[in-house]
Formats: sequence, C-alpha cells, structure tokens
Amino acid sequence: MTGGLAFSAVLAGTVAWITLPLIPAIRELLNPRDAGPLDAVGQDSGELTFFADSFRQFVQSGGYAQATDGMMLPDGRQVVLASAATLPAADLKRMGLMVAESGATLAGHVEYPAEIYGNGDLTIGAGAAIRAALSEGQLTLSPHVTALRWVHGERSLAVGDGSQLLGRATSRGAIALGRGVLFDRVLAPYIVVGEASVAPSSLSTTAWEVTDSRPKFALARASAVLASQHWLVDENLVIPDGHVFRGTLVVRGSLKIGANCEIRGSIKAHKRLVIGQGTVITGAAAGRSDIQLDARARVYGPVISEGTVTLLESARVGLPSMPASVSAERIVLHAGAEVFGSLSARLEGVTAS
Amino acid sequence: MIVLLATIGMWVAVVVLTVYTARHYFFTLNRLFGKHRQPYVDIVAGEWPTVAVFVPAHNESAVIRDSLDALLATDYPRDRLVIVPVDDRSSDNTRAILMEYATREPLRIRPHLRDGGQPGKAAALREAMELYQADVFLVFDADYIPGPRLLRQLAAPFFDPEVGAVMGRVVPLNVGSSLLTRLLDLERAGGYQVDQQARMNLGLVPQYGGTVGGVRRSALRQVGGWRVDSLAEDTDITYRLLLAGWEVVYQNRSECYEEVPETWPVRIRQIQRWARGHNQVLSTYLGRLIRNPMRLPQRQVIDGVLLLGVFVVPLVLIMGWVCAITLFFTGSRPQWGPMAVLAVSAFNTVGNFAAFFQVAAASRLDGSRERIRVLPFMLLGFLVSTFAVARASSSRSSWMKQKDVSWDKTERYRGGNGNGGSNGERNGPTAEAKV
Repeated sequence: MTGGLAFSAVLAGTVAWITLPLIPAIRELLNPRDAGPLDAVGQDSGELTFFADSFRQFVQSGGYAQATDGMMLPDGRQVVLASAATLPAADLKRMGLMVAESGATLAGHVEYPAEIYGNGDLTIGAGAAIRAALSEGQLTLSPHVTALRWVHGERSLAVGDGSQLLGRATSRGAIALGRGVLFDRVLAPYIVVGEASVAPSSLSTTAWEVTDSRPKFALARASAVLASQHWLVDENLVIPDGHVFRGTLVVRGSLKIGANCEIRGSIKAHKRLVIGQGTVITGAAAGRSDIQLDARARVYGPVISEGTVTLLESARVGLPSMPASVSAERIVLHAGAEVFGSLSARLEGVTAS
Repeated sequence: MIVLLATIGMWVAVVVLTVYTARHYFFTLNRLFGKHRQPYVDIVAGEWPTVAVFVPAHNESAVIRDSLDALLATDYPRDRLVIVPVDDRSSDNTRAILMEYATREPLRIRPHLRDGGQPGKAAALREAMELYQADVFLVFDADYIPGPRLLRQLAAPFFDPEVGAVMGRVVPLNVGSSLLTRLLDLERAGGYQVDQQARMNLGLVPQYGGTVGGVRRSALRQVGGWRVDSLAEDTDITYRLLLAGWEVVYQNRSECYEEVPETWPVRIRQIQRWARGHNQVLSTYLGRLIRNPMRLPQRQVIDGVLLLGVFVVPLVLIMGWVCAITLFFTGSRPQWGPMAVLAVSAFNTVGNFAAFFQVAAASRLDGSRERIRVLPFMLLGFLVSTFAVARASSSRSSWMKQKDVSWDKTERYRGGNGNGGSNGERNGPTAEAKV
C-alpha cells in the first residue's frame, strides 16, 4: 500500500512537472495574445529620406511651417520660432519643434532637443548638438556640429569640419563633407569631400567610350567560366597598368588593378582589392575584404565591401546619370572623393582630416 | 549478430545526432552573439538589373490577385520590370484573372499560359524563362505577398558578380488559424532568422528556397536551367550553382508573407514532398560535393553535406531508438557503463533542446514576446515530422529521379474556402528546425 502510494505520488509529481511548461502554452492557445503575422513585411524605413519626408509632412499638415508665437504641439510642447538670436535655455527645455525663418543661423554650442525645420536656408552654429534638422534650402552645419538622428538639406547640405552625422544625412541636391566628418548613411545625387561649390561639371553622362588602343588583358589561368564573359579566378591576380579587360571577374584571392586600366564589367575579390590611379570600372566592385580606389579611380556601379572602402583623392563612384551606392563596414573618404548616390557605413564612415 | 548490428546502428545514430545537435547550437549562438552579415541591404542606388518576376500558378484564383497587386505596387523601376504569371493548365478562374491584369497592365504583366508539356512548377518555370532575357529571374509562389521594397532588396545582391541566387525570408500570414500554423510560424522563424542567417554569417551554404528569391539568368543558363525531373528544383539549383562556383546568399530583411498549412494531413504531405525532393538532391550531388572539383572552402563542403542530410536524420533517429530498444531487450550492457549513462544524460539535458533553443532564439531576435509560449507544443510537431519524414525518406521513390513530376497541391486558405490553388514546391529550408 505504501509502495503504491509512493509510486502514485512520484507519478503525479512527474506528470505535474512535465505539464508545468504547458500551462503558459495552453493559456496562450486558448487566449491568444500574439497570434498575428510578424509585423515585418514592408515595415523597413530603408528609404533614406523617410524621416525627413515624414517630418516635412508633419510640419506642413499641422501648419507649423508658418508658426506664430505661442503655438503649441498637440502634446503641449512649444513650437519655438527662430530668427537669428541665441535662444534662452528655458525655451529649449519646453521645445517640441523649432521653426526657423529663411536665412536663420542658430547659435552654436547649444543642445537643441527637438527637430528643427528651416523654411529656407538654415545654418547651425559651431559645436551645436541637434536631434534632427530639415532645411528647404541649403542646410549648413558649422564645424563640430553633432546631428543625433538625421539632417536633410533640400537644395544642399554643407557639413563643417569635425562634425558627426549619427544617422542619416540627405539632400536632393549636393552634400559637401568637410574634413574629419563622421557619418553613417548619406544620400544625395552628388556627395563630395571638399567645397560645396565643387560641382560635377566636367563629367560625361555616358558610361564609357569603346575607342581604346590600350592592350587587352588576357587571363592566364581561369579556374572556371561562370558564364559568358564571366570568370572565376582561384588565386591572386594583378592586372598591369594601362590594360583593358572586357568581362566580369571574381577573384578568390586578392586583386590589384594597375593604373589607367579599364574593366568593362564588374569585379570581385575575396581578399584585398585595389583599383589603381585613373582606372575605370564600368560595373560594380565587390569585396569580402577591403577595397581601395586610388586617386582618380572610378567605379560606375555600386561598391560593396565587407571590410573598409577607401576612396583616395578625387576617386569617384557612380555617375550623374547612374547613381550608385557605397556600402561597407567602414568608409574612408579623402579630399575630393565624389559619390553620386549613397554611402552606408555599418560601423563608421569618416572623411580624412 | 543482431547485437552487433544494433550496436553499430545505435552508435551511428549517436554520432549523427550529436553532429546535428552541435550544428543547431553553433548556428543559434552565432545568431545571438555573432556578427550579422548583410552586405547588400544598404544598396539603394545603382543601375538596377532588368528583372522578370515569375509567378507559377495552377488553380490559384483564391490568392493570385493579392500577389499581383502587391507586385505591381513595388517600387522597382517600371522600365526594368516585367511580371510573368505562369498559368499551368488551371481549371478554375486563374486564367481569366491573369488576362484581366494583362489588359490593365499590358507592359508589366505578361501571362504565360500553358496547356501542354510536362506539368509542374519546374517545367513551367523552365519553359517561361526561356522566353525572357532579363538579367535576374525572381520567383514568387502565387500566395505570396511582397512588400513594396522587396524586389529591390532581392535584386541588390546581384550587383555582386559572384552571386548566382538570392533567398529572402518567408513569414507566415495565417499564424492564428490553428495550433499547427502557430507551430509553423515558430519553425519558420527558426529556419530563417537563425538557420539561414547563420549560414549567411558564416559563409556557408544558404539555401535558395524556390520562392521569395531568384537567380541570375546567366548563372541559371550556365548550369543548365531548372531540372524538370526533380521534386525540389530549388535545392537542386542551390547545389548546382554551388558546384559551379556561384554563391547563394540570404537576405533576412527581405520578408514576404505566405500561407502555411492549417491542417496536419496537408502539412504531412508537404513535408514528405520536401523530404523526397531533398533526398533526390542528396543522392545526385553528395559525391560531387565531397570530391569538390571547384575547390570550395571546406566549411562550405561540410555544411553542404549536412544540409543535404537533414531529411535523413529522422530516419537515423528512429533507427537509433529501435537499436537501443533492441539492445535493452537482448540484455546487452551499455559499453563504457557510467560514461554511456553520463553521455545519454548529457544529451537528454542539452541535445534534445537544441531545436527548441534555436526557435526560442529566433523568436527573441524577431522581438516576439508572447508567441514563444506555445513552444512546448513543438514537441508534437517534431514527432509528427519525424515519422512523416522518416516514412518518406525510407521509400525507394525518395532516392530516384522522377519521371512524371506534376503539381502537388498545398491548400490555400485565404478567402476561407481552403480549396484554392496549388503550390507544388518547397518554401525554403525550414524543415531544418525539426532535425
């Protein structure tokens, strides 16, 4: 009898123990709290101007663009008007939105805790920290400004030396980055490291001309033909200066392309990829490691790296008629480097000091 | 003799299960603590390749409107996109719907109508794709609903000249319909969020799953196009591309909704079809993969072999159970006594929970807080899958090339009729979560 009781007790305990994790499961099944489809499809904000566009819509639909003194947001915070004066700290604490008249310059060395909307040109003073700013004209960030979320200059965006763009920086015109600027994601038809006045004036809008007397480069050993005009090379490869290669190359080692070459296709290297001075790649450049564009090298398609992409002096990615992305863990841009399209640095982007 | 065979069988099972258990943990820990590799997700500008989107359909009138509407609403450059619904001798209203859309959008929607030839998804795709010269061929099953940016996301990896195929993530839409759909939702999460992405992170072999993905036309042609004698043309193309030197990549943020089976018989048929197709690929490519003529990295070869074997594991598991029970009743004493007991205890403590750990980690990565509560019920799903897959894998037809591949229907549920159309093929490597 005692043995039967003990057995029953052990059995009951075991069943209870096994059933324990089923209690929340049964509760969830009977009373579902999380049974909808995962809210992921189409929910990305991958459009880099997404926040700026949403903010503009908010400002314009709420009538805040023409705000008057004492206007409030629905949550009770102030709409602060800015002309050119330094703002009192008390106002900033209650600020929910700042609206600046065209040509306004906001004081430097101030933390602006809410988004700033500029009806026209807008300048942020040196050393300021802003949450986000949109200018309908030119947005100028003076040296050492920190933008915490996003900035957008509708006509253009000029970023002063030593500034930090922690998030998105966009323009529908041009973006000029100063020296020592940190950035994450940048998008504009024209991005340049240097003076904002530098314009892509002398660029051809066609990809390339097939009038070339340079010697053609022939592969000595191709591991495999991946497709027509598309080769896989199993070792390190060097293309000497001044050669032309028609086709697409995937190199499992490192790839060094000499100066003044032309590759009429795309390239990829598993190890370091160096594109020599003045060399032109008409397609994309991809790498599992670092990619370096030497001075005046040009890649017309996207540059995709799982390491660091370095654009030396006056190197260029994309064309006015053919924008392209640079996407890498780290991006380093030297003076005069130009990108027609976008920059995306997953860890860190920086312009040379 | 029986004891000897049972001993060998048991130890084979122990080794295989230990390897796959370690693999589960390795992938899951990679996703929790490793570097997230998504090199193509930020490509927003470029000379976008021309894309042809193929939507194979056989009696899909219940769902195909939603799919076409969603595809038309995508932001892919209009002059670089054509949508090709491939109707394979539907007997319902599918064809009329396609013609209606073609009339409305003649430049973007160009139906391909089949009344003859070999039936089946692979044959339909093979025939239709030969008529188009787009740079990239994307494939969506007729019940799939892509988001507005999905086509760009799936096309972006093809800027990388080594990429031959891309796979996006499948997200169940009808999650709340039944216990089964909730379990499949968890299983899909584990299969994609952890398994596929870990393979992507580690440079292994992400699998093209036949839908929400695509192939580079030149790569497809170079490896001979779709095989029409395969039940798993997606797995087949994955391995042919791999063996030809191409890379298959996975994009975790390229999500697309799908319908999952709502009843167990449908689910069992589906997973048995996957098992048979997968095993055909195993028998076709295992030798070539091990010989490794393209000098693939060893990690890819090992992962490729393990991926090929996922539908054999349930068979091995059951064999292990049978052998262990046989040894017990023949009075055999466990080898290395205490060590064996310790090993079995350790496996029971850790190994049995590998797949649960993977699913739980996936749910956490997805930010789902409550749905993980139904996780204990996955034991039921695992048992059903184990016996269903073992049965399919033990059949002779599972290892032979098929002479007559046809549409094998998975029911549609949208609209409430449950009798919609069909989808002959796999939806990715999600059965992995059950190993």
